[in-house]
Amino acid sequence: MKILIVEDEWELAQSLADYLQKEGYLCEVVQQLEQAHEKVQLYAYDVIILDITLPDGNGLDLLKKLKRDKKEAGVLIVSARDSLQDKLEGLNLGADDYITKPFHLAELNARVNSVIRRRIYQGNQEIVFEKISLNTDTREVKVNESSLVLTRKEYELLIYLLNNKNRVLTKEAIAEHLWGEGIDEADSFDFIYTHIKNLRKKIQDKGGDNYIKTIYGMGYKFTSV
Amino acid sequence: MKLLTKTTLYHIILAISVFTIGGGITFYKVRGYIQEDLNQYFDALEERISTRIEDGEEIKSRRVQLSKLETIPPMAQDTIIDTTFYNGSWHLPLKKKIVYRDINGQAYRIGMYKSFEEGEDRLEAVVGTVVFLGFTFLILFLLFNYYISRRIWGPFNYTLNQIKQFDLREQKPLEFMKTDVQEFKELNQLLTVMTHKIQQDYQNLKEFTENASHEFQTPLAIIQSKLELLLSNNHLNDEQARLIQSAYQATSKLSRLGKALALITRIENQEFQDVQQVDLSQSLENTVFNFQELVELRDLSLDSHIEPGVKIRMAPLLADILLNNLIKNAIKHNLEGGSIQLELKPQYFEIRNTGPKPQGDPQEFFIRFRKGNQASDSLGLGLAIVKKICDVNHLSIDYRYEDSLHRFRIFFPDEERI
Repeated sequence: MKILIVEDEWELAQSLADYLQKEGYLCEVVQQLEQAHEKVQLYAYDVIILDITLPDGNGLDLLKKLKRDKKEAGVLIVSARDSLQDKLEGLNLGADDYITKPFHLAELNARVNSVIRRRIYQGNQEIVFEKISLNTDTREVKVNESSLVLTRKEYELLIYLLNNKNRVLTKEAIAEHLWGEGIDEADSFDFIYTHIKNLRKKIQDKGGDNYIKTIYGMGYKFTSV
Repeated sequence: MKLLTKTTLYHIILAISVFTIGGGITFYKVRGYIQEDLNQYFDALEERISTRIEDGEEIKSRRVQLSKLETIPPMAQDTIIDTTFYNGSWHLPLKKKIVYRDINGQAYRIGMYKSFEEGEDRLEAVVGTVVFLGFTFLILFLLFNYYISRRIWGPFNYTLNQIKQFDLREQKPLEFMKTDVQEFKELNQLLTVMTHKIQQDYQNLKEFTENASHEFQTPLAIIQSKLELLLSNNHLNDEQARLIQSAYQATSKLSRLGKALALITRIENQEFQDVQQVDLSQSLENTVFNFQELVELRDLSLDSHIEPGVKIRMAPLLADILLNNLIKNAIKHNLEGGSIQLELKPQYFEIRNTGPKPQGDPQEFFIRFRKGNQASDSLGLGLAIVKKICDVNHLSIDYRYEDSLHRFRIFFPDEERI
């Protein structure tokens, strides 16, 4: 999987690349719109992470060009402006998703995965991890081939954990993923605890292992035992 | 009282006094002349009568009444009285002068008559003229005043209207009517300079807020991502992890703060222009559904009475934020095992919840960063956002603490109801 990161802020671009490379993606970083135009002309990418405020132009121009040239790449817009107009415009132009700075890397990773899932697997992806298998189309989760009944939030939590396995996921990142920014973090930590506890129990009831490790004070880590 | 009314009133009072005094003086002067005229006439007549009596001539005149007396009565005085001569329906006002005279040793009582019709007519003419002049003057004066003031005050009224319609958010300079009145010229110049300065300051402030909230986001994103990468490092000891964790939490809070403040600024700047009919009943049902889980997790009971089809004109996103923040607030400031009651009617939306007694002035809850509990981890912006949304949509919001329940009620304006 190849990802192009178009972001003028070098440090931020490096963080993204660093994180995504550990997830097994091939990342290239450009800081200017012109370079980005060249890159997409020459190479094919699966996902383009696109900052819309660039020193030499508006990132949306690249998006327009991609759509005009019927490029297959999925586009995830990154913006410092939390503006509905920008968001609607981006999505209308054919972007797959829109994320506002600052964001959690885990969240960005989850969004990239979801873009890939939609684009490459047509939304029908089988995610397998040890004894767990998850079908993103039917939303069916199986542990040791027996079905798991999960609530909506538990399902979302599980897929988020699966997308960011072997990493420490902070409670803040999980809260924002599950409830958006509409929730105050202090409250949500209790809810996360409850969800994690339930999810753990459901997996273990079906004979799975305790994949969700608590990192005291920080958050959780989904990893093989 | 309008300036015109006030000046006119003073002018009328002045005019009336001038005309009353002037009229009075004229009246008494004219009456004096008539009186003098009368006296001269009677004196001359008396002179002639006396001469003719002395000469032994007979007096035969309708204007004279002559009677002989034994003696002149004591206390007798010359008098002039008003009398009237009647002849059928016709009558004539008369002046009668009675004198007592001793002529050639004989006492006479002489009564002399003079028609006073002419004198009365003269007086009437004078009074009539004065009153007519007075009224004509007043009417002309009022008309003139009205016309003049409309002309003279026109530019001023125009300026007033312009100021009334002045909106800081529109970057339009004030436009004034041309005028040659020095005072108005100065006023308009001052206003132009002042509003220009205000607009500039406002614009600067707005740009600063916008830029600040945007420019903060990228460095914050860098800090946050670096900390996140650090946290993924498997070789951290507990102390290091704890330090990174607190830095991470602070960044996280800063980022939420920036977003919330940017939201308030955007609401204030009226950037949410996509005003449309929002089915509030539907939005509320959705919001309640989204919060169902949190309600259950906090062991609260939620009771909602939502009348279907309640619609209101506003930006849909703001409607959602409004409902979200209110319900979130009710969940957050609740008691263990407490309750929340929602009520949506065409006239109002009300949300009640159990919770600890509020500390401080409840009206201050709507002010930014004013928190019931200062130590709490929340931003203290939720209700400030609610208030802002209400303000820009002309909704009134009311908070009360009654029967151990926090009660927020939002009233919908009549004309917006469908």
